Amino acid sequence: MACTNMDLSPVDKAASGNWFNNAEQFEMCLNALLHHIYWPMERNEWTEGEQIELDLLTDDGTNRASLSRFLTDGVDGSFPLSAQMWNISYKGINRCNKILKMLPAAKDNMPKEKYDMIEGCARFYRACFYGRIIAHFGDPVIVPEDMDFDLDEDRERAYDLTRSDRWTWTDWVISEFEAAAALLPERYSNTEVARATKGAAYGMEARFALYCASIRKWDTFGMANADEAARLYGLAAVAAKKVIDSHVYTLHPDFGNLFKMSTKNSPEGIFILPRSKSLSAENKYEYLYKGATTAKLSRLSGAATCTTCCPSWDLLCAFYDDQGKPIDESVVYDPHKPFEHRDPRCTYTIVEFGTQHLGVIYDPHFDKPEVWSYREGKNVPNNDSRTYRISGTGNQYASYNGLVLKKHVDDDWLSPFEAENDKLILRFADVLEIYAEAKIELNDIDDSVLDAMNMVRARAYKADYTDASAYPKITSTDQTELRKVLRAERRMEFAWENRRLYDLWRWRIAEKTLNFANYGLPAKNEKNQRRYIDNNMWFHGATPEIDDDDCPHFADPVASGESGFFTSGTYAVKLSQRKFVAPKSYLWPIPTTTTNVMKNIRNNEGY
Amino acid sequence: MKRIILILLSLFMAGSLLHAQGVKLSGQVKDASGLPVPGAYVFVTGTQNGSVADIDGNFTLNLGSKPGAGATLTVSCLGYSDQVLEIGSRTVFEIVLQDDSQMIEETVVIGYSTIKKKDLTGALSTVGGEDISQRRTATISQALQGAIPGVTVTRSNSAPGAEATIRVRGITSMTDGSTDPYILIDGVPGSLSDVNPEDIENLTVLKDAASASIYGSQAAAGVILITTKRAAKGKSGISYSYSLGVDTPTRMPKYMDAVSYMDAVNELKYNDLPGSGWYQAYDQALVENYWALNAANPDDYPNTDWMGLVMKNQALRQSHNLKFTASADKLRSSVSIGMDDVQGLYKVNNSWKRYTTRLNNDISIYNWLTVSTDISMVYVDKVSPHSSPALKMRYMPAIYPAVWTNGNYAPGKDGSNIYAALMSGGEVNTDTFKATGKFQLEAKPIKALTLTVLYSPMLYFSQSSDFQRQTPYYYKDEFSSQKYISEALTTTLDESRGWRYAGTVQAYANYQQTFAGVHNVGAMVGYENYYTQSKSIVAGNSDFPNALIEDLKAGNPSTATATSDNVYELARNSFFGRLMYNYASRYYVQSNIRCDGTSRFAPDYRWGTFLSASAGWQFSEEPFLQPLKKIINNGKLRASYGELGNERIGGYYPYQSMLSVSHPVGYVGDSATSITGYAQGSAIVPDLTWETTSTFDIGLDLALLNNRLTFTGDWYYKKTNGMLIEVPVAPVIGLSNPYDNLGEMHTKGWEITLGWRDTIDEFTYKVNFNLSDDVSIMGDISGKEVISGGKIIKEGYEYQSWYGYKTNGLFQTQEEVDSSPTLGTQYPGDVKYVNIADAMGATEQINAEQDRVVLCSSLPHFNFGANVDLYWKGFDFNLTLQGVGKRNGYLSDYMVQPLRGQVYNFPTYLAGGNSWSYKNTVQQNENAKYPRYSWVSGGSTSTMGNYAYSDYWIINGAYLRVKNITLGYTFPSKWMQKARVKDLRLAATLTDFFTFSHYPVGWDPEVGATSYPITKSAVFSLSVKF
Repeated sequence: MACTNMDLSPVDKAASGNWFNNAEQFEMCLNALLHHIYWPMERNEWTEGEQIELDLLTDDGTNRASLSRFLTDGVDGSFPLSAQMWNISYKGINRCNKILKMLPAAKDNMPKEKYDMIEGCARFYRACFYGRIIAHFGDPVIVPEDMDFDLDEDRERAYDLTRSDRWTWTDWVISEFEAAAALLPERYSNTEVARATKGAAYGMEARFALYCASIRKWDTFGMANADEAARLYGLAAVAAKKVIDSHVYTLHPDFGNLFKMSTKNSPEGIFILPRSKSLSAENKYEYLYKGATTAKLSRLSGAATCTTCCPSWDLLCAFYDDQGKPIDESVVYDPHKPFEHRDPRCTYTIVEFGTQHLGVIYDPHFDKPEVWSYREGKNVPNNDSRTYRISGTGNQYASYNGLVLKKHVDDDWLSPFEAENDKLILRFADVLEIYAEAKIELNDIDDSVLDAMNMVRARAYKADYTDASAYPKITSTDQTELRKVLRAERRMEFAWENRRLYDLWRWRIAEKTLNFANYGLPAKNEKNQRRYIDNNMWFHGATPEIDDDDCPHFADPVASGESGFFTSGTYAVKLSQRKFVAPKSYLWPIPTTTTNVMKNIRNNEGY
Repeated sequence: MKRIILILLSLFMAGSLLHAQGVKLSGQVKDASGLPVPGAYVFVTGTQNGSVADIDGNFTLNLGSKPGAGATLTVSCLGYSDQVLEIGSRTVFEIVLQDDSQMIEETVVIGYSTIKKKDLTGALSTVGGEDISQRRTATISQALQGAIPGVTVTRSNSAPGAEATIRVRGITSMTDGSTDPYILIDGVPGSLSDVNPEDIENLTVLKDAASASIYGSQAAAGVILITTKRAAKGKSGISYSYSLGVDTPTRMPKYMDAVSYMDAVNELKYNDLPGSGWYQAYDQALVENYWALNAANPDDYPNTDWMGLVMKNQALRQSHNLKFTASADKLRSSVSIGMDDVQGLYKVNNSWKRYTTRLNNDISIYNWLTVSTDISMVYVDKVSPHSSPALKMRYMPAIYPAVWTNGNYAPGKDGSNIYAALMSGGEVNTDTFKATGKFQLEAKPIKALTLTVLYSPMLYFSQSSDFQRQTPYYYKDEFSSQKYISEALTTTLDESRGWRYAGTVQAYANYQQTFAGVHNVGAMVGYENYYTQSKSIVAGNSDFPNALIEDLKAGNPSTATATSDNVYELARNSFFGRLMYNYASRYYVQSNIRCDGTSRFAPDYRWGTFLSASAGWQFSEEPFLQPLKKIINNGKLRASYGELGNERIGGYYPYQSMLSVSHPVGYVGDSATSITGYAQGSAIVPDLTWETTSTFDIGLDLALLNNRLTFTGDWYYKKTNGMLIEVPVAPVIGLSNPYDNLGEMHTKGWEITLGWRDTIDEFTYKVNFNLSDDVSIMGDISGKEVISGGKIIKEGYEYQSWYGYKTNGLFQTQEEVDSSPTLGTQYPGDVKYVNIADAMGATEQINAEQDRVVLCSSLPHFNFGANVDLYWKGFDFNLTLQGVGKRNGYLSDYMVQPLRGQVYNFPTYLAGGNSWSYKNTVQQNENAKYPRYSWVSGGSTSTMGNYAYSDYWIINGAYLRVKNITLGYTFPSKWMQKARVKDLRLAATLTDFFTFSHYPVGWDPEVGATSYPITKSAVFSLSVKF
């Protein structure tokens, strides 16, 4: 009766002691960082429980009559998005640190190109994560690369780590992107896993540098520094230019098509991750499901718990007309027909009334109790309208402001409401706009600036950017005018791509626009809805003033039309009131799980 | 054993006795109920002259000569007390033997041996099998509620087959699963749910270290020993019992009807956006005419009673138990077969069936060698709904239609229809099979020495198939639909197959001898090893052309997935020993040692040694107390000290740094490809080892006034060192929290049991009361704090104290809000938080870092149980009460938050002026119990707004429950004998029928806010013995 052997090791996992020897093992460590959970944007990518899209924290979106807690000054250290963004970024940082720490010892076991690529990827990812920490939380905690958390003493030391001044580390992050770019290849062969490229490193560097530059320029809470702003804008412009000049990336020819689920690995993609349901057997984060899709669908998609994530009226009114003018200056815009004579990106982003969407005619008009369903080949009750003419609760939750999202959403999203659109973390159009913005802010406006902006705009019109007759070409070289156009371009081009929150933050306009109210249509009520229709207010009875940041001012006197349309309560309905406290809300709170154990960490001001 | 030898001897000599001459003695041996006792051995005391009673209990005994004056006859039979009668001049004897069950009860199992109860020096409690089966619960854990002092049993639901949580003497550890007591069934590790309550002979809880330390590393959370019934020597018979029960919820919260809901939502919307008027969500005309509209057109204007649709009014359960026992010379065998069928309260797919069989054999090969072979098999067949309706049936508002008048499923809320999900959305079938064997060899080479070797394999197999059936919903008047409810959007199947083996080998020797009549010595040494291995496979498919065939094969083969799960091994080796000595059954000492090694820790930190010692003083045996013998029948003072270990932490290889595999998706060329990723997930602590709990216990046992009054009291102090804590690492290191031997915990507690029993003529009554309390205070945990779910673990405070904000009522006016610190933006009618930090000169805002404090204890205190038993003629009556004397209950946001999650219904108790409202008078608002209806101030998380963890929501959680009322009647045996029935009893039992608590109307003090209800039961039972 011998003793049972007690030296047991797991049979379904790898032990770290015999790992980190060859390129394949390091590559598998890099692979683990490609999980979507490291790059959270969509509802199901935050945590097990569904969270929210970043765009619902901005003025581009509404959820019926309620607001995300971030928009009511209601977040604290338990804010799940904040906790996950912090935790997952540091998880990524430490995995990169581990790779970088172990890599030199394996130098002789792999070819130099592999070695450089592995090092470059790890430094690139780490720089992205630190950049994100700085953008969301301000002063970062820098984790020394040589710490070994399998040792008690280093784990203990970690509790004492503290936050460092973000401006001290900004240049380090930028230099890491630079270093990574030097190590990374321009592209990968058809048999290799597509990892970070030189272009991705320069592109993300440009984005980060621009972010920091903007705060240095626009902040009014003590961080403004004109010289620093100029220096950082310069870095952003140079990095973006390198991407442009590499000629590796091109704009996708069709703007609308770019966001479809069937469009894979577009040449516009600089840093993109594919999604796949069939390849994500045990990992629910690798595709979109449940609320990540249904929230963006209209009622007649047949999805449950749908239409909770809609474009706002602010966004609808922010699109220029097809002459390249904001609607308050437009001679062609008619608020009764809000989708006519608009920049084409308007109807690629928001579903135009009366068009086919997800197999049915989408029309929220109160006098359309039935619409044609192509899917069923018959008229069906129009649950996409909150009309009083449908009894029961079937249409109770149709879009409260009549708008539903088109971008990303196509027929492939229909039942079972699972989607695998590519995740576009960085696309070429963004690099062009970053370049243009940096140069505008440097007041170094040349043809390259106008070309960059015009290429993006012309693509939306499916026009050649040199052909001024085919689209409203941008021609001004005035800094103020161009800044105004650039902000509108960014809003139109990148709506619902998770960029808006960062733009609001870095331009320091969130304190303005995120204190505006959200407006919508009257709820199911014959009197109110009849008054709306019969007094000829559909869809809007007035055109709001649009300011130089491309934000509509509904609460101010209107540019034209019924003067009390938005605010009197007679027609449009105030759905909710956003609240943004500056400077507090320009950063997220450090999660309580961190401040609970790291006593040297002070939370951001106001939290 | 002595008696067995005597019987064997007598059989051998029977032939010669027939030829003897002289006096012939004869008679019949019966038991107390008048039935004959076959096999009783009757002999002249002090001689080998004897005879065995025949099948009718008759015996004849020929004596060679007339017995001398004072000669006596001894009658002996296993299971009965020996009886000695003077022979005198009698030749015919009517002998009535008394059952010696009293005597058997007096022996208790103490781990690798048994001991007479009077010789105990540790703290343990024993419950008879009868007391457990009479509670008429399908699971044993539920039957233990209130039965044993120091044993806290809590439930959160009564779902079919649900087990309750058992805690022995508070909490001494914080690791996963390690607060569950160690369960041994006939000496072998097992689980309570494997045992049919009817198979239990008795159940013993080892509470102090001296009793439990023989189980070393497994014993820190207490040990429960179950002894199963075996066939008694000379007894054969059949018994059968049947019970039929009706379960109904103890209580269920009520939610608002359609109109009240719409009013409430309108008020909430008004509160959050006052500028937009009173009727923001539901039109005034609609709200005011709703009942008329509903009467005319219930499809468009529904008032859905979700709970009523989903639940039955009552559910039935029944149990059959059949048992055969037979005894021959060398073989005793007991076979029992049990079947429990428990139906749940959900209308479909809700049942739990358990089939148990147990075969216990004792084979005497030689008079010094016995073999026992026990085989027990359990099969559980459980069906539950694919989507549990527990949450949504409570909270779904009444304004959403569940089913149209034409019978089609309606969209419910936005396509979420829990009624359709329950009825058509699929089910989870779980089958578990478990077979446990125990093969034991017991040899007695010399009288004082017993050698035991045993091997016990456990084989476990489980399969579950979770089938989600795509369920369409329809718009009104629609007859075809491609819209599916959110609970069952597609047809998917998730299958799993699990397999586990566990083997226990034990070898031990027991020595017991008395020297010089007063020096009683006992010793035991032994070795044990345990090895377990587990594997399972998880497979699934999400592409099925139809929802009819629940099989993987019916799905699209290209979308099938499979992976492994739960793959682990664990091994332990242990050496142990015990020494016992007592002088004249008056002074007792005992000590134990156990040395355990486990694969869970690194080789250098693997072995732990656990020692204990105890002493007892049976003062009632002291000569100087003999004059009081009539008053103090029994009195013993006990003291013990010992160490116990715990290794039960999450994970099987916690000291090894590991890289887990994952499968992200990446582009290879233009094709999305599954790529393999490896990364370390958890931080590790290489020198991780046991946590050790030292316990000091003193106790007093008393039996007074002719054994009518009994008292047992214990006081103890436990200290856990090197407590395994999941240490929150600095999140910036990006690894999940490891376990480390960090903490210290101090538990003080006491428990008393008081009993009185007496018989007046034919009336016997027993009253028992037990009460216990324990307080676990955290010691040094290296300055760490663990905060989660509104509770904190912090040095100097009770384990898991409530942690949150202090409050001071509700804000009544805007001026009050403006002049007070607030948590974010607040309004009149919101909870007013107390600014703790300001006292220390910090910020004016209420915030999580500075203003949360330890509020109060969250654990139950003063657990009590009480029993009254009455017997009169054939009637028996039992009343059992159970409760918690002091506990701070918490009203979770599920119970009190209006429009929780922006969807859920309002409980009715929020209305009627109970919530702060603009509709109330100033005075009503001053007395309002609940804050105003608001989403902005309500919050989606439990850290912000009115429902942040705070003392506002702490209530008196004490409760008293009438656990059991049983009335039984046993028919007189003389009526039954003709039908060869020995015993027939009928009984009616009410379980959990009455409860008294301070919880809001409809909430059971034990029930989880989103769990299956706690049920009460009425059970009718019949038991018969042949």
